[in-house]
Order: sequence, then C-alpha cells, then structure tokens
Amino acid sequence: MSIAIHPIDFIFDHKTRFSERMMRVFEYQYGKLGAYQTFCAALGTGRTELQAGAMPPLLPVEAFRESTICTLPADPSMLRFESSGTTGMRRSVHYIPYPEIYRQSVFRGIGLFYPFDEFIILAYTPGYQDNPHSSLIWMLQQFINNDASGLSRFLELGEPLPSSALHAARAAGRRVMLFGAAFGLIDLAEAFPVSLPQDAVIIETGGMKTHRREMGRDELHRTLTDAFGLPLAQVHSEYGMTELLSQAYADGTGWFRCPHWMRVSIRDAENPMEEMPHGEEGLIGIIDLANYYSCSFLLTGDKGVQQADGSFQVLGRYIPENLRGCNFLIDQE
Amino acid sequence: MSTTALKERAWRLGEGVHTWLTDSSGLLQAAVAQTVENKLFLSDDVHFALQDIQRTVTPGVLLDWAEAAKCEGGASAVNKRVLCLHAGNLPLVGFQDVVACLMSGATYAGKISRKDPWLLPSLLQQLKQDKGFDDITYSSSLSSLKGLQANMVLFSGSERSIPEIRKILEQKQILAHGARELIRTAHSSLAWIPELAPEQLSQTAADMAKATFRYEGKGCRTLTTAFTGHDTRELLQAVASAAGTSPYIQQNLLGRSLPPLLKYKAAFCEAIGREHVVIGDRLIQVSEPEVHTEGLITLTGGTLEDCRAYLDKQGGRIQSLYIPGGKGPQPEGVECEPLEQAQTPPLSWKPDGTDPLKWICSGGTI
Repeated sequence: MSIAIHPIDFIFDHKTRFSERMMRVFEYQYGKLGAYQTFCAALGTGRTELQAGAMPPLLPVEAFRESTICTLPADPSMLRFESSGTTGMRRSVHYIPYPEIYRQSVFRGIGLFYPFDEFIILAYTPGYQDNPHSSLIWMLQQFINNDASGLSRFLELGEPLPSSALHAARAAGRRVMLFGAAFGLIDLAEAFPVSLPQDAVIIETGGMKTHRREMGRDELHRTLTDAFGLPLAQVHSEYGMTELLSQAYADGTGWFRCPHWMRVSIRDAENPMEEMPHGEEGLIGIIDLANYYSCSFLLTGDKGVQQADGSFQVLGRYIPENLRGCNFLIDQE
Repeated sequence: MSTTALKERAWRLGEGVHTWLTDSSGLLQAAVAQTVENKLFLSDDVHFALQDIQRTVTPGVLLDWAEAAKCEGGASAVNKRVLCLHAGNLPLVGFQDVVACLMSGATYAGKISRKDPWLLPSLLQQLKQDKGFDDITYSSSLSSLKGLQANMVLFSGSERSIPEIRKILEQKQILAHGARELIRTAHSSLAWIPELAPEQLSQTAADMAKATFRYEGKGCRTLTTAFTGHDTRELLQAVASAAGTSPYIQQNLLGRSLPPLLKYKAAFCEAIGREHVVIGDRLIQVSEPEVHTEGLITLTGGTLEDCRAYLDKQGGRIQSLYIPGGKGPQPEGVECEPLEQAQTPPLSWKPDGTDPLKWICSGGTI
C-alpha cells in the first residue's frame, strides 16, 4: 500500500499530541468554516477560550444535511458522500476535496486494529457503481482495489458466499474479512448459512433496523456466529458515518476503539457542552481530525457509553425522554 | 343516579365552587399566597386558572356536561370509589377530574401533587365542610391511601412512568382487583395554521403566543408544534412580535435565559442560518417538528396533509389539534379545537380524547 504525502499529514502523526493536532485543526476550521465559527461564537467559545483549556464545541451532524460544511468552495465535480434516506428526505452531504485524506484514514485506521495484509475483503454490500455516494462503499472499493491478489471483491447480493472465494483465500494463505451492513448479513446468514474458515472475521457496519424488524447487536452477533460457525470473538463491528472520514472498530467485546486521530466523548443530552462521567449514557460526540476540510468537531444522534480507557459502546439512536407535559407529574413517595 | 340527584349534585358542586372562589372563609386566599410564596407557580397563572374556573363552572354547565356524558339514567358511578392521581405541572390541573368524579356520584379519593399542594385541597376542604361532600378523602402521600381498594383510577403521566405507578398501587393495595384505569400520556398540542389574510395574521400570532407561553409553556394543551401554509418567516416574526407585546410574557418570561440545550440549539440555528427567535427561556425555530425538547417550539412549513401525517405518526402523544377560530379545512376524522381556546378549554374538554365524566359514569368501560 502506498501512502502519498499530503500537507496535512500532521493529522496522522501520532508523535504529536492529540491536543496539539486538534488545536491546529480548530484554528483552520474556525477561520475557514463560517458556520462553525458562528456556532462557536454563539456558544461563547473561541480561540481565547480554547487556549484557556475549553474544548471545541461539537456541531450537530445534522449540519451536513442543512448546510454545506466544507472549508473550500464545494463544486459538483468534487467527490461527495451522501447519507442514505427515503424519498423526499434531505440527505447529509459530505464534500471531499482531497479523497487521499479519506484513503489514508481508512487504511491507516484499519491497519491499527488488524494485520490488514493478511486478509482478503469480501463485501456483502451493493457495489460502487450502484452506490457511488456511499462513504462505506467507497472505503470497501479502496480496500478491494488495494488487494494485488485480486481475491477481494464485492459479492452478489442474494447469492450464497462463493466457495471458490473461500478456497482461493485459503490457497493464497489469506484470511477472510467479511464486511456487510447488519441487515444484509442477517439476510445472508438466514438464507445461506455456511462455515467460514476459523480465522475469518466478520465486520458488521451497523444498520440494525432491518426491513423486517429491529434487532439488538447481541442478537445480531449471535445469529452471525451460529450461521457462519465462528466464535463471538470473531464477529466485530465498524462505526462510521457519512459525516466522518474515520472509523472506530469493535472486537467481539462490543467496545469500540478509535484511531489516534479520532476521539470520542459522551455528551450530556441536556447540555452537549458537558461530558458525561465514564459509564453514564449520553450522546456520542466525536472529534475526527481527518475531517480537516469539513468539520472535525461533531455531535452525533447516537447514544453511547464510554469507559475510562476511551473505548465506547454504541447503544442505538438517542431517543430523547419526553420532558414535556405530564410525565414527571406523579411525584415519588 | 336519578335526574333529581344529578341536578342536586350539580347545584351543590356549582355552589361549592362559587363559594370557594368568593372565598369568604379565606381558604383560597391562603392557598394562593402559599403557592406563590413558595414559587410553585406564577401568580399570574394561578389567577388565570381561577378566572377560567369562575368563567366556565356553573350548575348549568355542569348539567350540560352530565347530559352530554350520558350520566343521567345511565350506568351509575354511585358506590364506586375513584382514585385521582393528580398532576402538578399546572395550577389546579386536577380540577376537571375532581368535578367529574363528584358529579358522577362516585366516592372521590385524591393523591395531591406535592407540586400543587394547596390549591386543590382548599377546594376539597370547602366542598367537604360546606356542601356535604362527606366522602372526599385526599392526601399528598400514596401511603395514606393504602388499602383504598378503588374501583377506578385516573392519572396523567409518561408511558414510561406507568409500570412504576402500577407497582406502587399494587403494593399498597390501593386498587381493587380488576380496577379500571384511565391513563393520559399526551404531552403537547399541535396547530394547523393555514395561509392567513393580512388582517388575520396578528390575531392568530397572538393566539399562538398565548397557546405557547401561558402556564410557562407547560401542560399537554400547550402548543409546541405548528404546521403552516403561511410564510414561515412572516408567521415567526408575527409570533415574536405578539410575544413582545404580551404583558404576561413581558412580566414573567422575558427576563429568563435559555437553558443549556436550547442555547446549543439556538447556536446551531445561527450556524446554519435557520430562522428562529428566542423569547425568554423558549426557542421557536422553523424546522421539522421536534417534540421532545422542553422549551422548544417548532414551526414547519407544509400542507394540511403533512400536519395530518405528523398527527398520525405521533398518535397519543398529541393532546389537541388547534386551528384558528376552529373553522376552515381540517383533517378528516380529527376533532379540532379553536386555537384561541388552547389554554381556556371548556370544562368538558377531553384529555387524551376521553371525557373523564363519561368514563367514570360508564364505570370505566368506554
């Protein structure tokens, strides 16, 4: 894998402290992204406050749906990622002026958690031609393009895993990494269960709400282990989204870890400027330095919980408690 | 219950409420003073609630309500014991349930909210002392109602709170076996504002402001979500203007500041250029509906069909659908209410779509 040098390679320089890299990114985005500067100003947090130790405010990811979040003039020729959505629904759009940054982020990121060269990628997802604006599909296409053996590929949806692909991987001395959205993998597991090689890894990329029913992560992983003959420890998860150019990965424990240029914090849903104590639920906030040309400081709509070591769990979409009306009316004894 | 008995109860109840309001005994005055001194509610809201009761409660109104609820000659609630778990988010919010219960002839037992501990008891005391409603019992502690064995229970709360409430009632044997429940879980109200003629704009905006801000924006009749065929920007500005000239809002709300979440949301509005106004501790924004955030009001451009679709999606979370004047196109099969009556409904209004008097008179079977 060749990685080109880019002027903002400092993002991936683990020898530089995260806070130092973050300040450089903040300075750039605060100066170049009017929406973010306005947001910070309205919350009374600017350069001075950051230098005094304040954390950058996290912009809700809905900003990508409501506005153009790009530090450079966005033009139609730019690579752009769009969220999935139903007809008539506004989608988030993430403009990518320099795709190489995303490429570096995905390769460096997965390389931190897996001996990536040992694997071939089998992607049980729609192909790139069908989804040219999906950040996940773009990532998988890069993984496939990067495999000189030619064994990595997108799989046909609605078809069983080709045994030839599994045999070829074994013959080449490579392990199998099966990627897929949760609902796709469930379809595959239910229609075409098959024993995968014992050193294979399944990576589900979320999307628990299927076209049939909603399923929790534990149930999903159990279904996959049963169908593919792997231990739970080898069913992993990836956490990413259109608005992020970095991904977190969880091993069989369900706790996600980030690459060193990405930080997660759990925010108080009633005051997103405040972090929740470890072990308490809240909104997942993310600082993704790879989002250099958009906004690195984001608040998601996902619920999560974090441990002291920085690892976190995703607990689904955050459904606000209903604080209006009469819900708090029956006072306790 | 016979017609004569019903009339007699309506008369006694109407008289009792009147006596309580004229307050020769000083009971009400003391209750109001304690409520306001302890900052449980705004003085303005307490007096507004009392004026509304004075305006709406007469023996004639009570009899009309009983007739509409088919109490007369129907299944009687006499000898039935009804427990009312009173809410405390608005002054005297349990008043309607008390009246319904006493009108029906059932025996009333009330769990008084600690957030409204004086106003309702002052009425109950008056009725018990002077008007012969001897079978009234009430307490601010559920433990005091242990072993009540009520046949019916009315309460308002979130869906989430229901299991906990049921557990307490069961543990303390407060309900009889097979007791009927009337659970109200709606949390706010919706309005459809069609395209307005210029001469309608300011009055409609004033009504929206009243529906939104009265009672500090609390209670399930509060307007929190509006769909409109009118220009959203113009309507938003008109509401802001109406709020700015409302003595209630000026005196009570404008000095307040946004809580952290709304400050954060207002900053987001600024960042993405979303139309919004801040009025005291409330934020009104032009956006998709967002009903879960306390203090946030959303104004959404759309059609009557959009409004209907949203109402269907929200189901029982929405108390009422208001339209200006209660007239004009409205969704088929939906009982709309006049916007201007949002905070001054008739005594017989239906929390969560159920008339409590009719429900009690049916023995909790409707």
